[in-house]
Amino acid sequence: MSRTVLPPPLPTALMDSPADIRAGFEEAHYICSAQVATTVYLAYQLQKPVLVEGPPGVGKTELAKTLAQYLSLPLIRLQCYEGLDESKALYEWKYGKQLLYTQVLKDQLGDLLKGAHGLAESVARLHEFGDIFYSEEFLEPRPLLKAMRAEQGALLLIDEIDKADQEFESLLLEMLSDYQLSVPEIGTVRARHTPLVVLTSNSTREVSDALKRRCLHLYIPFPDAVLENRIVRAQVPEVTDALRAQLVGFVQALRELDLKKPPAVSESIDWARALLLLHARALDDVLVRQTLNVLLKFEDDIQAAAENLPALLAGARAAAP
Amino acid sequence: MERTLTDFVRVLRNAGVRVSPAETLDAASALALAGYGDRELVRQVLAATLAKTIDDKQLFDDCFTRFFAWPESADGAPAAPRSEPAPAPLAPAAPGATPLAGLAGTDDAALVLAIDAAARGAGIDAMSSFTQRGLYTRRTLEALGWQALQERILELEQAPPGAEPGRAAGLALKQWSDLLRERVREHVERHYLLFAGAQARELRESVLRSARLSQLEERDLEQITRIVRRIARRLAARYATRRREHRRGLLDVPRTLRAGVAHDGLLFEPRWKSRRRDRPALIALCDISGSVRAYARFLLLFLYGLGDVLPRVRSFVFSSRLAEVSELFAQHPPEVALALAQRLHGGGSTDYGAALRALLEASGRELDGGASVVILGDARNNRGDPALAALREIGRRARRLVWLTPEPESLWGTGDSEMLRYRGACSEVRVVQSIRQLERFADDLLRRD
Ligand SMILES: Nc1ncnc2c1ncn2[C@@H]1O[C@H](COP(=O)(O)OP(=O)(O)OP(=O)(O)O)[C@@H](O)[C@H]1O
Ligand SMILES: [Mg+2]
Repeated sequence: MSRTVLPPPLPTALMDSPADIRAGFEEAHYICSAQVATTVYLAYQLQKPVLVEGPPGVGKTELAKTLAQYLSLPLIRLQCYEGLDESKALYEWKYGKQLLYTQVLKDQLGDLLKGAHGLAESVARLHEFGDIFYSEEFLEPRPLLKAMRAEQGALLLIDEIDKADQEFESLLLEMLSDYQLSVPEIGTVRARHTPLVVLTSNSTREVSDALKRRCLHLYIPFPDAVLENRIVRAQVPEVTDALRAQLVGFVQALRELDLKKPPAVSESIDWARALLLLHARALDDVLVRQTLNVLLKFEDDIQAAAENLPALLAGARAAAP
Repeated sequence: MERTLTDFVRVLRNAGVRVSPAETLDAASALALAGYGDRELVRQVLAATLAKTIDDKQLFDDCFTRFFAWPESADGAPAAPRSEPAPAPLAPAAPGATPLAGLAGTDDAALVLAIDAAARGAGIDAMSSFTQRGLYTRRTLEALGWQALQERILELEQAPPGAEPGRAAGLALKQWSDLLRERVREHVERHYLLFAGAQARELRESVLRSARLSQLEERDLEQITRIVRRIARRLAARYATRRREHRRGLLDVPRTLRAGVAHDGLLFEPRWKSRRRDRPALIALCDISGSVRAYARFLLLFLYGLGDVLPRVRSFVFSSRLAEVSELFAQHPPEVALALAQRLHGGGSTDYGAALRALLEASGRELDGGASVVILGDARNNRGDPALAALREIGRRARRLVWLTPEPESLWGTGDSEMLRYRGACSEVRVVQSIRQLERFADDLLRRD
């Protein structure tokens, strides 16, 4: 692997230790485990991209956003989908503008070619001007190129990479190992400041080994009760301690059931908001039945939860003294 | 430090985690940054750099816990890894007339390194079974200079009263040497467990079960085959008991009534339902061309491994032409039958169309008798005639038609894949890439039956 000299990252005391990061994120209302903080720390210090995997709604995307905010870096986001290609990820030529210019300049052609003898000479003259159409003027940068050219550095979020086709990954390989890109018409674009790169995946397919080798890897599981309690508190501080402990206990127990889609952290947060609106003080049978659809998205899951409601509630109450 | 890391990487690889040299280097620079001081931090750093799938993280945690558990410091808490000198002097500073006795009273880390070196010197890497642990403990102790140590102890113990160093020192050294033997034995056992032992094999097995079958290496095949056979046996046992219970449980009302006629309508000869009906067959059709051969092999192993809990299996294989291989499997153990089937019927370019038509012809009677059909293949038909109509008819007449494909849904219909067109004719299409998924399929199959 050829290793080019990387431009220096922005010097900052914000990233001095995993503990600093954890505390700083908490102020931004993002609550994370020590593993998350350590991985972010390494990504920054070693200038390596991070691949974040985990079930939906555990805060993968939010992690990237929080990091950008924490470091005051612009967030450049590339949302992946099937069929994503270079023209949407890297750059595109502004065909419209090129066309327009050709039209406008047609009249000038006569002047330009005046005095040229024969076809060969005319072509040669035209050739001198051809390159103009493939210059910065006409270049439309897409997220990857934008991130490489950001004046002050950037956080590049490549979201849900598993949705893009496998071929797209090979496009990323060059960029992620050397932080440079080649644009055939212009040459090699080298990052002005190494961008921080976060990739996320819901693991609908395995990301290729080659890509993984270049990244640090972070798996964010559903949080345990203590962590989830703190997350809900950070996001919905108005909920009382007692109710929060109950609702977190309930959600944790719910995840133990064999559900099609277990509730995510985002759903715990939504549920907490809903309970707040209903002025709930404690969980009870009726309240939970009314609001179960905030937590669960499938009819089957709601039914399964309803059937186990007494046990779930007992568990939740036990979690909150 | 370098050594500790490379040793740990070796343990990971042994457990089935794929770690590249580049990743090892990443781990080294990450450790240089984070330091060895905090065990939990070391764990997080190594997890981020060395374990990159969810399965790998699990394996990593197991390996880490065991690898960095040693040495225990005196109070039982796990101490820092080897390179970090642990301030836990193990023995009184007994004057050393032997190199080993010289180690008494030095710090723990030095001792660990000495034991490690001695064990390697004693050829511990060649240890192949747990019963050899006594042998290697002895050899390691010998390499450490055990003999000289014992002589030194004896000498001290027999020192005349009042001599310095005297009997007290002898006693202390004796205690230390007992402790040392204990430590060496532990070292040998742990080494075995980490590098060669059953636990490592267990971890490895779990990885193999979720690995893509097409990516398995030749040397893994034997182990996988064993795993498949074991899983199949387990499934078979589970469903065998269930089936028996079921059979006994149900009262056959019409037959009981009829039997009662002979006794003036008194029902004292209850008749039970038996499921002895001619069980419908299961028809398996496997593509054994290059691209999917590995999968066919394991599907067939499974089906025949399930033995008599499964209905009668008729199996067909095809590449360019269809052939029934049920006879082969009746006469030979599955592995042999597989190899023969491969040799006799493999090769040529894949023709799904011809195979489907031939299957329809060969199994019409069973189909109408309620057989289920399982087709395994990637539906890559080299752009030949797919014979969609034949598949539709099979689907219509079979009780159930399940298609197993090793290709993920995103590849269906790309290139010469007919999967999208075939899909409509099947009751179900499943992606099966690993033993684990195959196991789930077999489980479903048995549950429905
Ligand atoms: N650790 C956390 N701290 C604070 N808020 C969190 C945390 N985790 C999740 N959330 C909340 O949950 C919401 C959903 O998180 P996010 O969209 O980042 O999930 P995701 O993992 O990217 O999910 P998906 O895989 O569906 O894209 C966020 O808007 C955030 O409010
Ligand atoms: Mg997201």
